[in-house]
Amino acid sequence: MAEDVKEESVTSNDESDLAASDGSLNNTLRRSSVAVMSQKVLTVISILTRVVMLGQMLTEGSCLLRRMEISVAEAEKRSGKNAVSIQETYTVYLVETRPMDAIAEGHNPPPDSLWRRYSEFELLRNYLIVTYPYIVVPPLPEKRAEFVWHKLSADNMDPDFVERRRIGLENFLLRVASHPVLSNNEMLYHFLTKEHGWKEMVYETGFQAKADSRLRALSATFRVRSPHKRLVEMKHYSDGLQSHTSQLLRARTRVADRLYAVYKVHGNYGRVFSEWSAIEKEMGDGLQSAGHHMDAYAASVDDILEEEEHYADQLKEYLSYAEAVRAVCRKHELSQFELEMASQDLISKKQQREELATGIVRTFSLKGMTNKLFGQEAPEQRDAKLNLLEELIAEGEETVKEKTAECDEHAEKAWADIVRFKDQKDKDLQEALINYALMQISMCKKGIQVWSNAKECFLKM
Amino acid sequence: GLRSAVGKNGNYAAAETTAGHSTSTALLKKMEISVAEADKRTGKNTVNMQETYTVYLIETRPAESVSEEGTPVAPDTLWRRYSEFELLRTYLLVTYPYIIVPPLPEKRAEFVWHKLSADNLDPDFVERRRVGLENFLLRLASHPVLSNDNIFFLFLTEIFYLSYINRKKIFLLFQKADSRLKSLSAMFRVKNPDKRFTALKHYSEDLSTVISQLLRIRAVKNRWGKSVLKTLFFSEWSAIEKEMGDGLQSAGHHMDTYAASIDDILEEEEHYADQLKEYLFYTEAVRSVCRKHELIQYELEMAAQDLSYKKQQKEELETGTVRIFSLKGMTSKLFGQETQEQRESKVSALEQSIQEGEDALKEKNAESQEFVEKAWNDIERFKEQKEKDLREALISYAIMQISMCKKGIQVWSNAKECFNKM
Repeated sequence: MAEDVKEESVTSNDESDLAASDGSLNNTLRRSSVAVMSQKVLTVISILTRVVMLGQMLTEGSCLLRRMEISVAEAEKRSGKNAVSIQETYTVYLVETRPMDAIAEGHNPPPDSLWRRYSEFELLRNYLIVTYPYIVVPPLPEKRAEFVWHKLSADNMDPDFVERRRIGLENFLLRVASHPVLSNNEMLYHFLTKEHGWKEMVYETGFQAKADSRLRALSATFRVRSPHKRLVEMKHYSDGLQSHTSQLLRARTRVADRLYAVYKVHGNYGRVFSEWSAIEKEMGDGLQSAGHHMDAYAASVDDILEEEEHYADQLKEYLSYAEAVRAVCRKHELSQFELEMASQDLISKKQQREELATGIVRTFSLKGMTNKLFGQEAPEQRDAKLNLLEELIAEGEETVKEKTAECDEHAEKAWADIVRFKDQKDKDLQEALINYALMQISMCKKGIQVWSNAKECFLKM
Repeated sequence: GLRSAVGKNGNYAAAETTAGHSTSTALLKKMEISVAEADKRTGKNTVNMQETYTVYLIETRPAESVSEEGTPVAPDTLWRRYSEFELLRTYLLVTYPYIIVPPLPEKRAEFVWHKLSADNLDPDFVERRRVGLENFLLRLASHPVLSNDNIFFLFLTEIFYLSYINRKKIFLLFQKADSRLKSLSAMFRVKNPDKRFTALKHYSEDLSTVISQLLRIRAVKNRWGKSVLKTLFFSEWSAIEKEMGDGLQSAGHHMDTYAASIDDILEEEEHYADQLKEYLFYTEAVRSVCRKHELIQYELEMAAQDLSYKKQQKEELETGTVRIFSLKGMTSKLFGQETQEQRESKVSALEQSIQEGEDALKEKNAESQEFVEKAWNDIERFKEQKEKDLREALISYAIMQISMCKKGIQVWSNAKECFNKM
């Protein structure tokens, strides 16, 4: 499998269009995640992929990843007192960075490193979401294990879960650091380099004040009268992505369960062959060797199935991405809603102006009523009111113009990012499928090996 | 076992009829035997009720037969029910108790892994039974002893091969032997069992366990295997993804082809399961021979015991000493000894009985030795056959698995190409 991975890297190097967006980089991201997954080939492949990543650096844009090598190298357990002075155990992750130019020159400087908790990653992400409301911000790995199957526990302290989370967190950082917009963010840079005082710095930006309450955002969904065309498209897309990815994940869980069972059954064959060899005289040796091969096959399948788990993680990332897309939609809806409110306000003010100017009351209003009852106002009063209205209308028009521009700008920016995202997703999924096919091929090859060996044993009997 | 499969289906590449077929009997040199077809019949049974049953067509033709025009000679044929095969086998069991008589295919489908083949009238089951019956006849025809049996020959060629009276006789003989065997295992024990036979009995029990386990594992594996194929989701997915649709759809087609080819291979696997089952039933036949030997041994021991007891009685009578407690001894003490004439007549009666006993013992000894000799001959033959067959079956099974993996590689490589083009 290592050879296949390397092979694929080389070919896609030739094929990838560097002028395209981050797509080609994401190929590398995928590869590095695959490599890191398999403990056995960790060192070799991680070096290889780092080299590949270097080779695939974008020349355009000021991408952080171009300047700095980032990884989440380790995970550790800590205990300490929390906010309410109760002892708790939590996991910390080691974020390592190295300057790219030093590596390019062939030096191997030791990395700078700092420890971060999951909650700090969450803080960074929330900050980015608020600061760039029209960007589809890459998701974090799941907080709690979901879609588990078979032997994987739902325990957050479980070493397998922690390991997969570590990889997910690294993936998150790489995605953010290679995003054309997000990678330039200062808080991101500090997250990677400043261990202490980073949290305070983020809070000081006051981003939380800008965070829209979910309630406001929700109610906006129901009141936008003429949603932007792009907005509608985006919503449909994110809904589709969400439901399809969930379906796929469920189907995959079912397949994984059964595939596992089928291959494990070969372990049973091994046991029975051993028993059989005990009672046969001439055939004994042959049967015993065959039994050993069956056992080896059943054991090797474990490794492959672990790798398969990785593809599930990729699917889960896209499930979370769907949520991120919807978040962008909601923010846009909110802007849209505010625009409509502002427009409406402007219209009613203009109407008021007209009424005052012409004296004709078009709509029922308390003013009209009072006029009829108590007579009209004095001209000086009217003029004062008119002037005020004119001012308000002028302001209102400015506001509407601003908000319209803002809305359109957001819509365009969001759509641009979604196009980028779609492209990234298509490339990632294509690669995932290819790797899945490669994995299946590798399983078949292993099968051929095992059964050929067994056949040799049988021939010698 | 492999040989029979070639009869109808040419696709079992590993099984060539004459390759490695070392023992060719006089019968096989003379004629070709096959069970060519199966058919349904309805008729009235013994209690005058309408019933549906299956009949099998036995075809025989002279070996390497070609007519003057160059076309193959038409075979002789006759139709037989499963129960008639059973009768033939019973006859052979009774007539050759020291032979491991080849087993019949199972009467009812067992070790099923998909519910269809549990029905005796199911076409798949009938087909596999046809193959099994052909195998049975070929095994008989290639056996050095059984192939020369005249009744067997008539079974193949004459519709009325066994008269009504003889049928009855066979059943009675079989029942008698069966009940003697049963009473032996239930109540009586052999004092000095033959170690070789004991070992053989244990071996056949162990082998039976092993094969049952293999069959059970296989049933479980196939249940899982089929459901994996059903949940392959590519066709579903292609409907979902618009841009990637074409690539996914063509990948989905490859999956469908793969699934279909797996079905073929699973069917072929069924054939190997049948081979295993044949040996499962063979172990029963082996055990049966062992038990028959035990019975003979037991009767021998009984005869010897009886003889030694009679000799002792004679000695007592002659010497007047009572060695063992006996009613005679008691009555002698109570009522006085017999007269001289009485004693002498008893002695001569005993002497006659002893003579008969010694003859019987000699006969039983000879019978036992003959049985042992013939049985071990056949056991050696069986061992060789078993090793050869199982070895071939395992090799073929490995080849089949390899070919399945190769197909998998092909399919997934094609799928990968589709993905590459997306």
